[in-house]
Amino acid sequence: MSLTDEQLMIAAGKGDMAAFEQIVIRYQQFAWRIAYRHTGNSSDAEEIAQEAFLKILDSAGSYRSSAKFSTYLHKVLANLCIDHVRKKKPQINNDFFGGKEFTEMPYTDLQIQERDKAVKSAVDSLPARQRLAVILRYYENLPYSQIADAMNTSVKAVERLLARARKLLESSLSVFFEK
Amino acid sequence: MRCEYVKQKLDRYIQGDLPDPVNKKIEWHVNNCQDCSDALYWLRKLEGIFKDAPIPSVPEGFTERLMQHAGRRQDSQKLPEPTVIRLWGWLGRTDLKKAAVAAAVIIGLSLGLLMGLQTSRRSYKTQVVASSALVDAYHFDYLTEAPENSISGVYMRMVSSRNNFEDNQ
Repeated sequence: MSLTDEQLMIAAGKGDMAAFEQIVIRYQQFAWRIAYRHTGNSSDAEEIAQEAFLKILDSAGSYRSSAKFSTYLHKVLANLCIDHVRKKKPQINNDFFGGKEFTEMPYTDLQIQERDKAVKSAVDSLPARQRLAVILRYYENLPYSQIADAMNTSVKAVERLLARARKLLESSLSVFFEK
Repeated sequence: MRCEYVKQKLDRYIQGDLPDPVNKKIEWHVNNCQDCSDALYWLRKLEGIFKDAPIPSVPEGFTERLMQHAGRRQDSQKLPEPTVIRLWGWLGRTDLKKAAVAAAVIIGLSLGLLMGLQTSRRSYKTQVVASSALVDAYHFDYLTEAPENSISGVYMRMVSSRNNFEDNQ
């Protein structure tokens, strides 16, 4: 029977690196997706995703199993993404179909390609907190309460953030929404 | 239900993130309001676009690099234990810890008593500073000629007298 995330964290806190590796394997995809979508480039995304796991390892000794691990990871990632933007301007990755970075083959439908490029560009140009809220809501489909936890804010504040983000996205992407 | 409130909640309605009674009210409103119905349509479209987005995959070797980094970090945080702590650990393993604690307490108390005795004996001895020695050392010749009730005279009596402790005995 496999251990829960919380059990693995407690083991990692006692120095069990194999337990920590299990945590990494379980959540690396999630961490990578968030980091990559927020930064727009691989090297920054790897830096953020790795730093998130290392921070978790550093504090594993004081982890309490009453706290859900995924919520904890969301918070660490969210803080690192926002801090990253504060430290440096995000580089918009124009190499949208940089082959190795996506699991799917390049599209044959040019219209879909263009649409996805436009969506990515529109999201990349959002302010950091709005961008993070959009990533957590629309790419990861997290409920508002989890987004609020991750961003250390209230559900109402998340509603406002996403409403503002959607206004900006609407102006960039209106051509794709004609009935 | 006002349109402003409904539009605020539409995204959570799509997610199924609202309590049932609120869901039902929003559903009724949307079915009877063109503006809110359009807003709902737009939100569903937006959600659909993001759902179809390509998924970035984790680069090869990510876990290996991370574990190497984690291992180096763990090693750099391990400092050699101080000798006292290693000795303490050894005593614990050899069941001599209690005896060591008792011995330390006895030695500490004994030292404390001895030092206390010495201090109290010394405090009974007086240290009389010869005024002539002071005068010679600091060239206070002129002070010996100071009138008795002058500041200089008082000062000379102060530095020449015995400890207050002895005076109070």
